[in-house]
Amino acid sequence: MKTYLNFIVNNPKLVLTLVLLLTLMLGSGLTRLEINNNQESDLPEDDEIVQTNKRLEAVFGDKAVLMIGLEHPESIYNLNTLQKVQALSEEIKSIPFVIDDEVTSLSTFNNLKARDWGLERAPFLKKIPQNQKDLTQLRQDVEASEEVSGRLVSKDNTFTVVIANIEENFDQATVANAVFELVERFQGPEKIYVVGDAIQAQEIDGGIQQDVSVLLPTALGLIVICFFLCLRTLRGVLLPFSLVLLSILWTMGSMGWLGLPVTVVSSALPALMVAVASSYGIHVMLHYYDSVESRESRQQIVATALEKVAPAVLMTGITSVIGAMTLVIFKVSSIQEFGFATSIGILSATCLSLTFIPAVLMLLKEKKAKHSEMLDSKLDQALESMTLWVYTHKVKTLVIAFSCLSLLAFFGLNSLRVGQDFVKYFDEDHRLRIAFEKFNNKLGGARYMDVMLVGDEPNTMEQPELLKVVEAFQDYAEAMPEVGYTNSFADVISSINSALHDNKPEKRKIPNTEEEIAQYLLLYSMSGDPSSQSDLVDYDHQRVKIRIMLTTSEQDDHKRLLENFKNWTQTHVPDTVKVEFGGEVLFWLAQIRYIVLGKVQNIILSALAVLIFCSLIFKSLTGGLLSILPLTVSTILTLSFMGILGLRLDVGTAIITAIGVGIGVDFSLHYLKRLIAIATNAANQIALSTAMILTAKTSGKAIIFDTISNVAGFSVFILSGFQPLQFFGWLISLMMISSALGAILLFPPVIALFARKFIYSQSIKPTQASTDTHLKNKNLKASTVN
Amino acid sequence: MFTYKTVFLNTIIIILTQLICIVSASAESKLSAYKIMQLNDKQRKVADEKVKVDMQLVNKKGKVKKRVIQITTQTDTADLQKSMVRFLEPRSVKGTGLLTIEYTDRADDQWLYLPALKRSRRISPADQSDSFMGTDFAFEDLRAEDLESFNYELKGEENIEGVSCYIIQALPKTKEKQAESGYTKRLLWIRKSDYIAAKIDYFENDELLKTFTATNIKSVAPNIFRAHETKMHDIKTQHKTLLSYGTFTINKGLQKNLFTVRVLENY
Repeated sequence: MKTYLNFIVNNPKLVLTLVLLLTLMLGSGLTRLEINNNQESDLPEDDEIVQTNKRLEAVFGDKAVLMIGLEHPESIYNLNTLQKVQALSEEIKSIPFVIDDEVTSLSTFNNLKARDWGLERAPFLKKIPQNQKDLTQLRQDVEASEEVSGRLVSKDNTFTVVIANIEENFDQATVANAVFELVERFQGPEKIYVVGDAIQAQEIDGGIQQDVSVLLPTALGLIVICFFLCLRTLRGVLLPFSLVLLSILWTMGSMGWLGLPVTVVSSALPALMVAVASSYGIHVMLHYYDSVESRESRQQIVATALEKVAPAVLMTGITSVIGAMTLVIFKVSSIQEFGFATSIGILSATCLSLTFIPAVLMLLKEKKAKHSEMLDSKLDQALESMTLWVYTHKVKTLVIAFSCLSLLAFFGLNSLRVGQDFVKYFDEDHRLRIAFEKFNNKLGGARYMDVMLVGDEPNTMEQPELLKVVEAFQDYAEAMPEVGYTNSFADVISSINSALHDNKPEKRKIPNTEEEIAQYLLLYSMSGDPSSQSDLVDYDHQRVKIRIMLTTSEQDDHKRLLENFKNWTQTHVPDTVKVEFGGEVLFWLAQIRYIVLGKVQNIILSALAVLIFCSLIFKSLTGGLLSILPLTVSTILTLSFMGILGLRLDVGTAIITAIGVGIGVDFSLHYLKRLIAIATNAANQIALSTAMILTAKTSGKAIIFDTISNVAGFSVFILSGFQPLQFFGWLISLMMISSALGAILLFPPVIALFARKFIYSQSIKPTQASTDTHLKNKNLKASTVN
Repeated sequence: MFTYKTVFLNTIIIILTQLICIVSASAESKLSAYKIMQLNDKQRKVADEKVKVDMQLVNKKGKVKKRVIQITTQTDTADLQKSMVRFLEPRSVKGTGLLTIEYTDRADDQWLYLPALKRSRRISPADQSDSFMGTDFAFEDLRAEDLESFNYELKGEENIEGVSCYIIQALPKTKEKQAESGYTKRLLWIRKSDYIAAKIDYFENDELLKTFTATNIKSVAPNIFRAHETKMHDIKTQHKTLLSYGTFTINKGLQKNLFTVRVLENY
């Protein structure tokens, strides 16, 4: 350590050159940075849902959906709107990646219907009606068709949709731009709403870029203000500020080189780095100003400051990395990657604060901090009286703290809910959220679950008994209020049956013989090309897909529905037929399952990791337990508050604890290290209470500065357009504040009651003790109790 | 004598002769392409024809669906066709039939008979570009060429399986025709030996949609040739339809009133 410190102090220019070179090298990785929002990459390959989705895709094609809804305030049955439907159905094919013979709308959907003269099979909107009679006929046809009414056209006749399948390997930006350009041309007087996988992905990514461009400058601005308030010198602002910028550059650049993409989760990284790096910068600068007071040579000042701060910075850096690395246990890849990226970020900040800052300080003339005496003495007074109070009322404090915590935990943890809804990522007035609401209210939803029935041999699905099971399942599903409608191959057969029997409604059912079904299928295959009928039934009629459209975005509902569906199929579907569940809704459910599981593992693991690491450092289990006390308190507090405030555990909020553990443990270590240094310094000969007051006035103050800068940094998340990031901002602030209070208010009574021996058993290096003498002199007037 | 006048005259003469050459050349090729198509048409249109066809539908993954149908057609002197398609296999659709009668002045009449319902239904006629019985063939691919609706142009010659062929480009003459058809362009390889199309490429806006190939082309009646194996390959969906023809019965006369609803239902 000594040689390293000497190297920095003696070769500041070389160190700065190396930092510059490394910055250029890592920074060039920025050009390789990619934005990724592919859902599937988020889950482990061996997951049941991922597997089922793959099987569904293998059978029914690798497709995503694009839906364009048209709303007319009175009725869509007018010349202009119908022309638009027809034109949109045609022009949507020109959007890249749209599979042009898989467009579904009034102008493509075949209406099989018995007329006076015979059987008509033509799209509902083959020609634009030229008179009132044809218009009425069209409306009657639509209203009479169960496959179209409430699905392609809303029951109140004000909304209709053009649906297109797009190739799964679509480029979201290309698709979304083309769609919005198209929408722009068709807008008015009809209102147009768009939903679909490509649109969601692009809206989220666009939001990320927008967020970063707003959040980052804001965070930096807040940090600068914070630094200035704390240190009141130009270098006190500029150095930590440069540290923040360099850390971000190093982290994002490394992500580029390592191929870690920016996701919804890791888009928070720059702002997170602002908070982390600023706290490191403050620590180094505070120690520097502390050393300046000693009036020694420049070299001596920087060396002393570095010697004192380096162990603490390294230790907190390592524990924070351990905390962040525990995120790797999550099976959700975006969170894993975030763990990696955060670790790189903390390492960068640690490294830069011990190289870059001291090197620059070596080149600058030493200067004292301009303290605001009034503010300082007010803060000192407050810290002193707080510490004194909790020290004299040890038992009372602990009883109060314990009862409050238990009470909060009891109510909070019990009502803590898991789940997320990506629609709620967006503000209520966001166009995507509005579009989802429209599809929910008008057409039975835009989100779906798929059920696949697999027979044991080809043509199994031509058996009437099986199709009747499918029909019964659909009836069961549609009876649930959260189900908009269902759609299957059985519907197609029923509707042909009805059309072949003069549209009799009572014939809208599965016929009794296999021959009828086979012949209906032949008729069905006569309209449409031979490969495009694969959406509901596979090529050799062994598998059918039932699509269940949902009007709810609530994951608790999805879970319950899935349970019900599974139970129903277990009792009603013959054993020879295999049932599989898939669809985008289940994908999100699976992701949440991993988050909950990962969360529990993560809390235990990160606490354990920190406990072990700190026990080793202090060579004492008591030391380890003390280190995790504030973060344990704050984790319980944060999760309880989430429960009470109705914030749910989702991708964004799940990250909090691991990050909070890393930063929260900084407070413990800074406090404990300083307390040990002061209390065991034989030269001081002071009582434990005095040592605690001195610790509160030095480390405690640093913790307060830290918390202020952290909260200021994290509070910018609240400005995010994405709800999970907003929650993240609130919660991390809560976590920081509670850790700080946990350290400052709970350490004195706990240590006095249970860990007095631990403090005095820690030996202290003579160098560190000696440098504390000026501190002793400065604070000698501190009152002594006990 | 060398004057500006003669230079001027000479220039005009050269330009004129060149123009005449171009015009006559294009007129000749137009005529001959049309002529070739006429000869091809003559091969296809016979008074009556009956044949059993084994159909194999093959999807992208190589899964196969088999059907057997019998096609009977009759062409009258006005070149209007009547046809009866009857499914023989698989068992579940056996007897299903489709009767089509062409008219000059109005849309075709079509009736469908489903044995499970024991009665026939008149159905709205399929569009020209609709799939024929769920195969990769569209109705327009199977019916006689409407020679007056297309512009034909000879684009060159090429050997296919050792037989020399004319390459003929067919473009719809009118916008209406183009809208009716699924294609904006066709390239046909017509064998010089028997005027049977050995290959056809179908395009929509210069994008190749489908390729038709015919093999095992043999004489089936005096001066009448037929391909016994044909394939239609959809380029985009990678779906294929293979047709294998049995014995052709050509110009042997058909029973009277064969193309009626009564016969359709009486199976």
